[in-house]
Amino acid sequence: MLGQLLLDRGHRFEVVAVGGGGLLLIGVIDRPTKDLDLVALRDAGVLLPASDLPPPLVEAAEDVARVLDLAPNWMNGGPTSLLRFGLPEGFLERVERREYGGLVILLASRFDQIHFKLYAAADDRPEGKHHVDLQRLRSTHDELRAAASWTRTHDASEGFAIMLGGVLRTFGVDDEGWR
Amino acid sequence: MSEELQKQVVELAWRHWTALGVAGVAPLPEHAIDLEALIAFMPFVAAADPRLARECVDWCVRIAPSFVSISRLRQIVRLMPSRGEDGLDLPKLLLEGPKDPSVRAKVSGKSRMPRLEHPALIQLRSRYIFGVGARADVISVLATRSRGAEAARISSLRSVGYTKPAVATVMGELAAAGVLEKLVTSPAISYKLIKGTSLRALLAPLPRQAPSWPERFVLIANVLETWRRFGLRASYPIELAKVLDKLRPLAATIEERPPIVGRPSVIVDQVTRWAAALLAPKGRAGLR
Repeated sequence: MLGQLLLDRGHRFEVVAVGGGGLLLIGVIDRPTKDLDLVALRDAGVLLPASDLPPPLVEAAEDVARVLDLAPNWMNGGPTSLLRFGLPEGFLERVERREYGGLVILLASRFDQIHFKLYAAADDRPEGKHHVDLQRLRSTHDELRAAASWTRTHDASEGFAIMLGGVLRTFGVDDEGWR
Repeated sequence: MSEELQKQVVELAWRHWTALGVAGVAPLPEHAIDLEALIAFMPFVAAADPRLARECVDWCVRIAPSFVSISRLRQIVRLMPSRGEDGLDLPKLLLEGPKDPSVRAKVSGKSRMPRLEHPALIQLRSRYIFGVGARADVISVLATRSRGAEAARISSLRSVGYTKPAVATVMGELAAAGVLEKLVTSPAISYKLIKGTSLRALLAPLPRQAPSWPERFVLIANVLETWRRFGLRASYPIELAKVLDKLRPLAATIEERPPIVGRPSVIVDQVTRWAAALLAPKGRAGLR
């Protein structure tokens, strides 16, 4: 619906989506989610922070929200901080591209979603939605170790390492290979 | 969707204009007519019925000057959505005069003076008694309020197109003349009609309903204009919802709420039914 609206208004945007909305779109989860978290916009091949979305995109998203009774910021740049410290290497080569009229969504791959979900799960309660999503992603130990190493580039603190270790142990992963 | 709504709008317009004296055959309305609201609404109707448009020009050129409040028309036109330059612009014809002086010679000449004894024409009747302006319209509003209506505050009686000070002046003078009783209950001032029977007898026959047409026509004009601009697009329901969302405060003044939430496939039908209901007011509402 948003893509059609953008097309009708003569706009075209390319966004990079992560989070629950992205997982839903790539078929990993089926729990309803009413938002789409963006990590970046891609303009002429360059990734830009999604913290300040272009006004026509914000306006169109709000117009759709009004009709579907969604939160006005259902499409948001909440996770854009992930971009600041760097996305996992090779992220853009792995994205799944979906085109909806004037909206192109680059969906983070399952492998990259494991990175983001692990990062979020470290701050989440043990039975929280990020843990559940991480289980649904059926991550292997190697994937979790790779994800853990990447999360350390975003938060090198010892406190974070302790919480991360706790999450990994629930998946049967010990401290080797990521600390 | 809006072809059906447009058809109903054209039917209603014919009924109103026929009551006003335009040459046509249509059942006369049982509700009160609002002249300036009707004229301001016509640009959104005219293209759908060129014959009606032509006859309205005839009426406006030859008969309107006796009845129309130009200043009120100007205020109500400002509430209407903007349009392109295409088509007949009846308000402009009245506000600026005809661009082509030969218009006067080209009109059909079929319109006649309205038969003021018809209940629907209470506004015109009142203007013939009290003169064209806020006083006549406030009095017709007072006369058409239900008999058990509570004392009215100026804000609740304000007839669209008149300023609050203008209405306040009229109310104050009617109170001084003993037609109304002024009730001061801090912080509000309200007015109670104390010569209602006489006033109603003077303005009789009263219409069955007296809906507030300016708001209704503004809402429907926006629906029609949005349809004209975006009706062929797949995203039309979203554009329609956006337009109507901005009009929620206006709709609330007549206790209406546009139905703009739902699946896009049903929104258009919801809005069509809602807009059609605006054209067929029920109950005895005051002119506001």
